[in-house]
Amino acid sequence: MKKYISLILMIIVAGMTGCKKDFLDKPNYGALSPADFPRTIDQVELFVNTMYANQHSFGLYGHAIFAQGFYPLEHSSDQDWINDAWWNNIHQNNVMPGDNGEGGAVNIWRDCAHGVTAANTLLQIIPDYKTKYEKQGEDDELNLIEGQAYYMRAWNRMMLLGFFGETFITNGQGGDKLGIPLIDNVATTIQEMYVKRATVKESWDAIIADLQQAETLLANKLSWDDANKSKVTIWGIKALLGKVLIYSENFADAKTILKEVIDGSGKTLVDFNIYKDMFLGRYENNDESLIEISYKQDAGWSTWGASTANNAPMMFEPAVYSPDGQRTYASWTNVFVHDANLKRFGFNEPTAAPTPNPAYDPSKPCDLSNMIEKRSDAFLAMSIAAKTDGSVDPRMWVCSFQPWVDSYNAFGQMCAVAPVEQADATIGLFHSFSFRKYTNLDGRGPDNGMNYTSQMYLMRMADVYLLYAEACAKTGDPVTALEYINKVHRRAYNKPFNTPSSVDYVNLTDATKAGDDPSLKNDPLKYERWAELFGEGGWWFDVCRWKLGAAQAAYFVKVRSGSIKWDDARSYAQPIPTSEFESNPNMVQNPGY
Amino acid sequence: MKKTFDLWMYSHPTLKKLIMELKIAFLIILVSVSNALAIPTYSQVAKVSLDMKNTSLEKVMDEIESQSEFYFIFNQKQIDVNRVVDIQEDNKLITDILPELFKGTNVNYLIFDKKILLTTDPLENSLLAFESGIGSQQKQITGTVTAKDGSPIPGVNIVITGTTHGAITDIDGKYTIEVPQGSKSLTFSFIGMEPQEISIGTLIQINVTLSESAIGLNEVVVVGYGTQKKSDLTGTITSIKSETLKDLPVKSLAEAIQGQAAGVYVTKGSGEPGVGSDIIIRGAGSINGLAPLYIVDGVASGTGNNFNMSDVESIEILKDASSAAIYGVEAAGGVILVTTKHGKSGEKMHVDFNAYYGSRSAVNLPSLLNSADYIKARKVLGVDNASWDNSTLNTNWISEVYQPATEQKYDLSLSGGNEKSTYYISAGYLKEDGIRRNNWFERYNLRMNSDHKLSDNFTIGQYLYLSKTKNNPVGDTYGIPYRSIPLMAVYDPTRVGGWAAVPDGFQGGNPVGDAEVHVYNNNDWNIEGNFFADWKIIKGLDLRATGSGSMNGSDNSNFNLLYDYGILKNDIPKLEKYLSRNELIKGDLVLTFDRTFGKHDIKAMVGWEGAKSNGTDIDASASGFPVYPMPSFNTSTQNVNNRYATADYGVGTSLSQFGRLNYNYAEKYLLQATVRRDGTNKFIGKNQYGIFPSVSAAWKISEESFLKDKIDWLSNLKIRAGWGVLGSIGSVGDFIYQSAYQSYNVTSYDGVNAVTGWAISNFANSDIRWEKVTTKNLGFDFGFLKNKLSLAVEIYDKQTSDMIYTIALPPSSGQGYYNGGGYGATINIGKISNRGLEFEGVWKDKIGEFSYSVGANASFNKNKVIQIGDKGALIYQGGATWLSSSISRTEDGYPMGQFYGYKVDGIFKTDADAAASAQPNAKAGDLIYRDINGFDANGNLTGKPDGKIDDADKTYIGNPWPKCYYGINISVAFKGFDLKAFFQGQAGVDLFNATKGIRDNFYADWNTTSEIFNTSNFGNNVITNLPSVYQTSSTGEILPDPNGNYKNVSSFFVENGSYLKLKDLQLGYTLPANVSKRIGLSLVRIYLEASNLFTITKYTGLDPELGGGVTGRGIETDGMYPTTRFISLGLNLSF
Repeated sequence: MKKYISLILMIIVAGMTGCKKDFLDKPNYGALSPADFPRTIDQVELFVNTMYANQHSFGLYGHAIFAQGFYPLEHSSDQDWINDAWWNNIHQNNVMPGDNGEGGAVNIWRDCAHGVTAANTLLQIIPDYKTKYEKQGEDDELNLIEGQAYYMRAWNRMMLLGFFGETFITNGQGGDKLGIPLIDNVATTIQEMYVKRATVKESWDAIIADLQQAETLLANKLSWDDANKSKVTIWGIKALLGKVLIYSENFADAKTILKEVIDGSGKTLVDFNIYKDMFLGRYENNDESLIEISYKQDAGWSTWGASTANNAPMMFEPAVYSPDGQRTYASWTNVFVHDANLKRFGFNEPTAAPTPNPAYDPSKPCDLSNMIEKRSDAFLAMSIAAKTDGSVDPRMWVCSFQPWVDSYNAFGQMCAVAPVEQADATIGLFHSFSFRKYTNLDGRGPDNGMNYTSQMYLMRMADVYLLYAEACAKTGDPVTALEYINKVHRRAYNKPFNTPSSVDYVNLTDATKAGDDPSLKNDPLKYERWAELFGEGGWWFDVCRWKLGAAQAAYFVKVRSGSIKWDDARSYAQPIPTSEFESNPNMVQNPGY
Repeated sequence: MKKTFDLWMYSHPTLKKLIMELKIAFLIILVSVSNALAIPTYSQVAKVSLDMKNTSLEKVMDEIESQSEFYFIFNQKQIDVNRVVDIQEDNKLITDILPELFKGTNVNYLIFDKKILLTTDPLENSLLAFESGIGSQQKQITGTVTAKDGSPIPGVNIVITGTTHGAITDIDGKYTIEVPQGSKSLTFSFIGMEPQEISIGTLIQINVTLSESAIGLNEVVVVGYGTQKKSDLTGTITSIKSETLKDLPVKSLAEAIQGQAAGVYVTKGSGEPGVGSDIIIRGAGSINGLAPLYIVDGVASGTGNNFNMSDVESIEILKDASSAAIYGVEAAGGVILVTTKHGKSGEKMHVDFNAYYGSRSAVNLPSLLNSADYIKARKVLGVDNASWDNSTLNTNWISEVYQPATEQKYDLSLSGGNEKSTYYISAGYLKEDGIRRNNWFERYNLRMNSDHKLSDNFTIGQYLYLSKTKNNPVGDTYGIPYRSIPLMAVYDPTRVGGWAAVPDGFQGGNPVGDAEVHVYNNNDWNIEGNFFADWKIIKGLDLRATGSGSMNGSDNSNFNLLYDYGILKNDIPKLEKYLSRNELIKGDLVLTFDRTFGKHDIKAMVGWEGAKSNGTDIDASASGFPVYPMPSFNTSTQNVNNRYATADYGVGTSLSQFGRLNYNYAEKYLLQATVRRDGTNKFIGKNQYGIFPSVSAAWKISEESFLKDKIDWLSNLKIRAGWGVLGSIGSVGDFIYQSAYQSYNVTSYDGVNAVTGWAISNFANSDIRWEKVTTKNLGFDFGFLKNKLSLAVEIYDKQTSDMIYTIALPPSSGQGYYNGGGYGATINIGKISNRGLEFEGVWKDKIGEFSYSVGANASFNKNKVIQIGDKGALIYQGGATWLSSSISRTEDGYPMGQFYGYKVDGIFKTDADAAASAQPNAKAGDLIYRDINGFDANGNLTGKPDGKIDDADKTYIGNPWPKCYYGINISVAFKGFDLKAFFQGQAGVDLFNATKGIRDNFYADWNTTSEIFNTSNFGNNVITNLPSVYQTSSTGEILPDPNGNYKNVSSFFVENGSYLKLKDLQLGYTLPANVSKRIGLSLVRIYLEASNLFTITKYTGLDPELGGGVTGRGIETDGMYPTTRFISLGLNLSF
């Protein structure tokens, strides 16, 4: 009996002594608390990485921003895929309240807001780090970090305002309309998160103020070392500030700062032969680039910023003839270049169905030299000539792949590009060119063809030149304006861009290639912004600030899923996602939704 | 071990005196034939060897009994069995051994065949006694006592009515009793069973079937950290015996108790193998669902698909606060106590074998359009494809994906024990094939329970449960393959993987391919057990220490094979592995005091408990396998640095102290008070500990002199009342109170090196604390007609406050998204009220050999959200891809998760009506939405129609909570046959049949059903009862559903979800005992079982039994795994 009692007592003793006083206080092994982290400047830099990574998150340049955002709204694209109502609606400029498709407004709203918070997190960490852990000599680096945070907050707010602001400020009008929620701190209570929308004017002012802060803090940061070469420099900041000043109609200040970039940055327009391929994963951080997103191939489905690559082109890669002659899609291939864009570039050839190629040899791989079907020889000859003779804006082939004329590396070898969509019951035959910018001529990535690594430009000199031209035009200097438009124009035709050429516009109302488009045919500034930056996702903001929506609708008329249903009263501003209303009682929707 | 069992009490005065003192468990007398003296056979042949030194006489006698068929008969007062003896005999006759053994004592012995009588009386007297006992005035009655299912009941008391003379049954339920002339009847009784009185008449064989007592008033039920007589309960405990759950083909405990207890609402909305059920006890008390706490043999543990229901002896459901409060912070969802089977003392080895084999098929499946109809319908919608017309393809994806499946289960158990130790060992195997292709669940399990009495005051015991489950989950595509088209082949051997390519314009996958392109190897292990030591310090004072632990782990792998459906493809063979391990160690000490002083009965208990858990998991993948499938990364050609891995580690701790006091005066007035203090590492500061008190009282009115034995028909009347506070830590994750940073994403600045980004990963709430549920309970127990009819009525009021909920953060806050997952703000936000009424009744009777019972229970619960968060806070949940908004909304003042959308007032009959309406896009054939409200310029609701249909017009259009849910159990036994039917149902409930949006309409590139041909204006249709799926514009353009008939959440989708289901029907036949005996078995029963045989309902979806949590339940979408019907043949064998 005694041994049993001692057994039970042993159990009791073991049980009781097993529990020390701090038995209920366990460390968190799964995350780090702000009390412990970050303690070194390298750790602070980890928060900088998040801001950059967020730019290529799912809703932004990682996946959705082009094919589910800019392209359908500005009609760069027409649809191959027509089976989602929200997707059809966005292509028809007719987004409905409750269109919560996988792309579009929901993801842009969320991911830009995340970018703002990533910046705010750093802006909160820095003063804390300075008082507790800062070591000697870290001042400069901390200033750079802080400057990048202001820049990132401004960039994300600019994207939010561009898509969701009730309007741009146009001819001095619209500043009092609803802008975006301006969040300056990382909220720690739910109530703090119920932020109202500021006005458009207040929103632009906040963006400008942030960029000016960045400008001060990064004042001497002319370049980064190789390991950090895609981080923003002072010239990137100034260029973006110039753009934002233009967007908010402060042309005088814009002119000054853009001139600074032109004169001081050392950046210029690159040669046409570089230019034409610099969107295809080649010539990273080139002489023309001011801000770009760099990608690296990795294994993940590049969503949520959890990959160093992107999968944006998955939705717009070309259709091709596979080596065995089947017309197939290189990837999802949900969209193609809307045919009306080709006309704008001056490509006025009629559509026609291809005919079987009698010379096709099925024993050899199908490619440009051995096509299973093709357009007429005359058509092919014309197309090849037009690439250099100036009859068509050569940038059309920089921006798009032409079926039966261009090739694309789709199956480990160069395949002839095919039309994405050949014909449609209501519309008829299509040219159906594919998008070229940001696809990868060197073949697709390793994981399900969903990894793309062509760097993307957020700011480049051609954009700066055109913004500067606009500033000059608006501030009474049409001569300089014309010259900077012509610089961009000359390069497109492979001419030395600093010397007058045969292709120059003679004045600011000279004829453009967009002969049948009333809104662009006599407006070289607008035409050049469209043609030069086509496929890079900027045109939509220009459409909004210049109020070109109705004109665009009249020009593009319809997409495959139906007619464009433009409504001036609402189509400029995208609806704020339902999920925001379900969680923020202070949110107010844009008109018409 | 004693090998004889029959107890025989004799009427002869001398022998009566002798036997009266015999220790029943140790010694049993059997009197057989009268010529015991005449044929001295056995004692002349049987030989025994003994080598025992310094041993008690008792042990030596044991040894003799074990070596031979001899047994001893003696009076303990006369024979000192503890006398120490030394004996060494080799292969000797008993007649040689006995003189040696009793040398030098006054013990005389007599040998009658195998019986050895020891006595200190003069031998002549004893001889006389033995002789006369077999006299001619006596008659011998034999028989077998069995339970309803035919299994023998050992230990049944058989008494000659009106005397104390009797016998008890042996292990096979057999008895023999000598009955003096003139005896009228025998009474058979057994704890928990209805006693039976049988007239003797001229019978010499009486076989009896005992059935369970209507109310086992003396039945002992398990309560937290102890047991109590059912009649002494002050709280609300529903007790379910294994009998009721026998042979049910269920996969979880929750499913097993569906419909068995009032106030316990169980739904199973999925037919997936191994999948569990939703369980809500007494109304949804929290947005977190308040899962009940499962305690198996005193240890909190899981009772999901790895748990073998066949091991269950009984289940007790603690529903009210005063019963559950002893479990404190985890008890708010109710407590379910499970007692597993244990061996019985003095029972020879008992072997049970149970098996069933049967077939499952879908209860209901939709028929998707075939190719001809698909083309026809698409063409109406203006979609055409040249390739269609020449296609000969017509794939029925439903029959490709679903097929009948088999299920089998085998259980073998051994149990038994002697006076010191008992054991129960069981092993089982279950395999359930899914009705979906390449989808199954399998379980192996082993249980070992034992108890050992080390001395009179000291007992130890243990249980150990080991299980392993394997499963092949559903592949990439879930649910009904609406997103598949008939114009696509299943196979194409020329393509990578052998799967056909998807046709042009279609971007879905290949549902059959999806089911086959993964090679899963998913294994889960679970080991759990406890060890206890119990010390009776002095009479009435008992200390019990329990240590328990569990370890479980997973080893899952998924090999992604190559496939190419055209637009969707996998061109990289990839292996994903997931490993996890979790451990829990728990110890408790409980000191119990239990004494009676006159009419005062006092029971007091104090306890201490501590627990510690930790867990870790690893997730990894590698790709690029030249040969596959492969279970390891060793053959991957991928760069090691590019492989992917994550690993997690977490800990949890808790500390508790608790106490309970029971006071009982004169078995009439009962009082119970409990208190528990719980500490957890999930909270900090002042919130770390919580205190949970409760008090309850009961009055047994029927024990009062003014009622007792005065009213014939009223056999029991008791009133119970209780109050208590329970806690819940809900679904709170660890370290909610801390803000935290985690690695968030990656980027590269140079296109060469990747760098990691860090960001906020948690919304910190330092004030997070447990949810509090305060319950008041009033109960009435009635027993009528000698408890043939028993009835319990309960009224409760359950108020939840400080409810924990993780609310969505506004996307604009930029917080709440983390690597594609998300987090919200976990806060104590609200109050919820549940009030309810419960009825439970059982009628049991027996007419001759026909016995039957009808049990029914019904529950009524009213759920109301009093407050969630700030004023105006709303919780949205539930949705479907094709719908434009969330379906369910939770708002103050309403039950949780109400369907929220437009009210539909029919269908526009003419374009003119539509044009005059508030719906600009409507035409004839579209739904009429009711204009009930509008916004003013500031965005506030005006409460008045405004000629516009917008968000202001959305309102509550359905309640997914039933007004009443009920269960009916009917069992009937006649001779060897038994029939059991179990019905379950609910009434007054709305369901949201979201599948109408794809069943009646083409959504995106999906298929649909023939219902589309019945929609208004479709082709040549006129206005029907289904709204239009399209309009034609003035220019001839086809506009798909511009009015949003199939997209807007509206009452069009809401249906009456009341149903009555025959959940289980079992018909069994037990072979007569003499037949089974001939093949060496004590029980042979075969049965036919059918579950989900039919459902009576008006609901048009697949199955009206829909779960789905508490804030988004009652919604059917395409993602559901169809529920199944099961028909099986089963077998029970015992020996």
